[in-house]
Amino acid sequence: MPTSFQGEHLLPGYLGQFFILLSFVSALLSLYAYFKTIKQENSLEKTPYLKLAKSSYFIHVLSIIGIFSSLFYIIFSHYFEYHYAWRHSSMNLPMKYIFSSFWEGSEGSFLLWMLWQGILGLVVVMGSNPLNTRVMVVVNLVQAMLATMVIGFYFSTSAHIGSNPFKLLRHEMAHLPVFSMPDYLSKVADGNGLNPLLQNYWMTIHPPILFSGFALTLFPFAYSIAALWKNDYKSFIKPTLRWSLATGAFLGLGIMLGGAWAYESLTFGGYWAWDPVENASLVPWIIMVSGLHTLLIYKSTGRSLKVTLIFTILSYLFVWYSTFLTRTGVLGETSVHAFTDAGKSLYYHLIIVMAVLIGISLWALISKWRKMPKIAGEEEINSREFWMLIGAFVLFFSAFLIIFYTSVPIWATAWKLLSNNEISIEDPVSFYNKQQVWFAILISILSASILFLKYKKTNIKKPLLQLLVLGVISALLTVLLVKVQQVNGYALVVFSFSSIFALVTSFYYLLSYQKFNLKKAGGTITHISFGLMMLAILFSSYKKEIISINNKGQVVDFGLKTYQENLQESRENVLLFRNTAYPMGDYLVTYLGDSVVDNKPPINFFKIRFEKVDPSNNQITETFYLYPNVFVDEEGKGGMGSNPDYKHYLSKDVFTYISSTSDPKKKKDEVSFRPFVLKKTDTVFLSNGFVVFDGLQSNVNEKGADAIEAKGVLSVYDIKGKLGEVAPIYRIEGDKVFTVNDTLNSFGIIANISKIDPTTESVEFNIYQKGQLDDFVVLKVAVYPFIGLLWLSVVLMFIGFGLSWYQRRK
Amino acid sequence: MSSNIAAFQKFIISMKKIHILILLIVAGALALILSSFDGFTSVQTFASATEKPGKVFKIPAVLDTTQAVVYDEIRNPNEFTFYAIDKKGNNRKVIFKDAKPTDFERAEQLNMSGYMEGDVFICTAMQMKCPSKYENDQFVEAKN
Repeated sequence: MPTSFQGEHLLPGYLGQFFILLSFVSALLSLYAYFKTIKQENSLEKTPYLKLAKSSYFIHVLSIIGIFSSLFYIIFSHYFEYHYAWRHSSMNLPMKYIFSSFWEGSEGSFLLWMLWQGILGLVVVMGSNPLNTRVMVVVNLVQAMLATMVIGFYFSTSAHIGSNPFKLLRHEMAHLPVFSMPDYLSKVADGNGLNPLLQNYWMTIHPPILFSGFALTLFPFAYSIAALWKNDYKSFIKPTLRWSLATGAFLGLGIMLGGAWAYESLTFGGYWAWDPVENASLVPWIIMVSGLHTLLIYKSTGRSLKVTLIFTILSYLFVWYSTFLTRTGVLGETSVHAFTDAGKSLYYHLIIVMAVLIGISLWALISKWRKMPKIAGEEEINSREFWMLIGAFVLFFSAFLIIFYTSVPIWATAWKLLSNNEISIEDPVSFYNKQQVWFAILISILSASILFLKYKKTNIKKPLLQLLVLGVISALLTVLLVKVQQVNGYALVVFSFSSIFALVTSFYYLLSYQKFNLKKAGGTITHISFGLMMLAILFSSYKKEIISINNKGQVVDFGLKTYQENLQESRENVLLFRNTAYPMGDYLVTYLGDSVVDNKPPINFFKIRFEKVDPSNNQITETFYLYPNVFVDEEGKGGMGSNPDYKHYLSKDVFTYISSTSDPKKKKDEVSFRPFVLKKTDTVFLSNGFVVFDGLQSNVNEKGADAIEAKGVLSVYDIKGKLGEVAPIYRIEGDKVFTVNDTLNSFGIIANISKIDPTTESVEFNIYQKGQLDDFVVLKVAVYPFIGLLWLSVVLMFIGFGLSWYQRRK
Repeated sequence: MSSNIAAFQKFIISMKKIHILILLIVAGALALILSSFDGFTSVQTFASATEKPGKVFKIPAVLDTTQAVVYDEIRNPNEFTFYAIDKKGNNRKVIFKDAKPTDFERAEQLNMSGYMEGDVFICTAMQMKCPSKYENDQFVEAKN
């Protein structure tokens, strides 16, 4: 007999499961009906199939919204009988992070993707492009495949199709006896909570924007497939152009918001680490931008059709490939991102989906390859299309190399079989930087110069002269920059030049050719933002400076060869006792204390004061406070999560995070005194100062003959001079001994007397220095120049793409 | 022989300028790939790293929990010492020249880059594979 469980809320789960099935079935139905409509797509008559196709697509979108609402309601109401809510949220999770827990899990992010594609598909359903019927066949096919990702048919715990977000906790954990008790829910007090790294406002906004970008890439793909399918290479131009511009805007923004999150919540203090997850979303974007440019060539000259179709198709295939890379655990240890191994089921599921999409793409391209229109003869060398195609290929190869190296963990397995040698990239950041800087240089120069060329044939004299003058100006600016910023290495000098050239030249084009006419300026603004971004990357990543260099000379020598390396490597952390100032760069840095904020897990904030000192007169010209924090480890599992804090300036950011702290428990509970046996005038050195024993003052017979009281006077000095005295009391009444502590708060010292030895005239003191030896932080502080410039360039790029998209509405 | 040369010349002439340029880019990309193999390291053990002291290797290992993990910030905030066991089961002392990583205890695997100095592995960079406790299904029964 089945047990009936108390307190469960099963309705939202049933509803959610129903909507998942409905979304799958309605997508298939819509697919079928659109397919049936194809025969009559050119006739003006509305077929009953079209009606069915549209209405089932509406039902499809509504049911996705239904799935979304059910799951959101479950998380919002803290129904921990559902595994998803239990695993990704907790009772005291702030409201603003409820959404973050929605897309923390794999299922939630598939749903987000599906929702965006579904909603964007409505634009196609309502539109009137002759290709739309076929486009919707593709869209419905993809939507149905996405629905299988969350459908959850379970054959066994490891073999299943899709992973259902409405699984019950008691099913997932059936092996624990507690889950067969009728009142098990009363024992589930709280959920597992959201990963503290994701408790960040960027994590609320970054995934929806990123997935909107992924969803947008579907449409250039679908229009390209539809164009091939129908042999209609005219109608797809405008929609593909606009969808790819929108992709450029939103996918680009989504990627950089991920960078903003990494910058603000990961301790490596960078916005870009060439992590596989970052690379995997960057590659479809780059390829889409290549496709966008070749499409412009095709639109104006009729050339480059094939390569355009290949690029737009590849861009979408790479979205799926990146899903495969990042969600199945194939990347192993190379990624810091926490998508855990979802099991073999998802692995094969994604391979099947990719096989279907690759099959369709290959079929469409190969079967129509010879039928595609082409233009005889070759491009003029002084035409825009010639150089734009070159630029598109440079972009594509850049993307190809990135994905080639990101896939190292995959082909390293094959390599291991051949050579019995497992390989990996030693230092990904400098590895990718070293290669990609050359692509960035080529693209910067091309992106600016090509603006001056015209399609088909350009009168080359005037633009060539202008480019020459602009090149000379940029070279002069580069010399200045290289001198002031001390740019080292020829690659970086060339990169400085190309970035400045891109910025100056495209700005000049906007000024003199386009006369700030915003109607035409979309592309130019995007190109300006690219130059700006390259410059910001140069400043912020190559010129970052760690100012918390430990100069206490605690470097251990490990042999002469690598001594310099050790020196560099080993001194970036600085230990700061409470209330002790330490010079770092232009600042005097002081740790002032900490406080704990209730959360799950609790957050411990540390107050760090930065004072900018004018070296000429030692005056403090500026004071600010930073509050880096760590997540307190409640359950004694060890470890903590550290979150940095920033001070933003226009020209730089001051960045700090906590590498280590004193044990918070020790700080609260035990006070550990250290014993010192002192004679008169003896000195004890403590951190920041010293204590001198001035001798005993006796007070005999105050309260009767049998009481003896003595005061041990300790004078306390810091660097500036005498701070005060501590005078603990030692008292003997009959056979009882009393000791009275004395403290001096400005030095954080507590002292008492444990023994007086009259024969040697020595006194045993216990001294404890509070807020010093037991209250400290280990800090890393860095200065990142011109990081604001990077965010500015991202905003500008979004605006540029947006303007182009808006201008091409007719 | 001469007909071969003529055919080759014809082939070259028939190529468009753009093809030549794209081929050049492909060649450049290939050159980058070939030159990139310096940037690769092979996965090693302490024993193989000992053979070439001073050369940087990447060694996957696990923490030896039977030995002390020492991070004395007060003495040196940039030195963290522990013992690790490599894939072959060999045990070495490791000195990591940075602060103790924040979630070190939770790591189920340590991917260390560094080199051997005598019997000691000097770790210059460390990546940890952590089963995040927030991701893992660990059920804690509520106390009443």
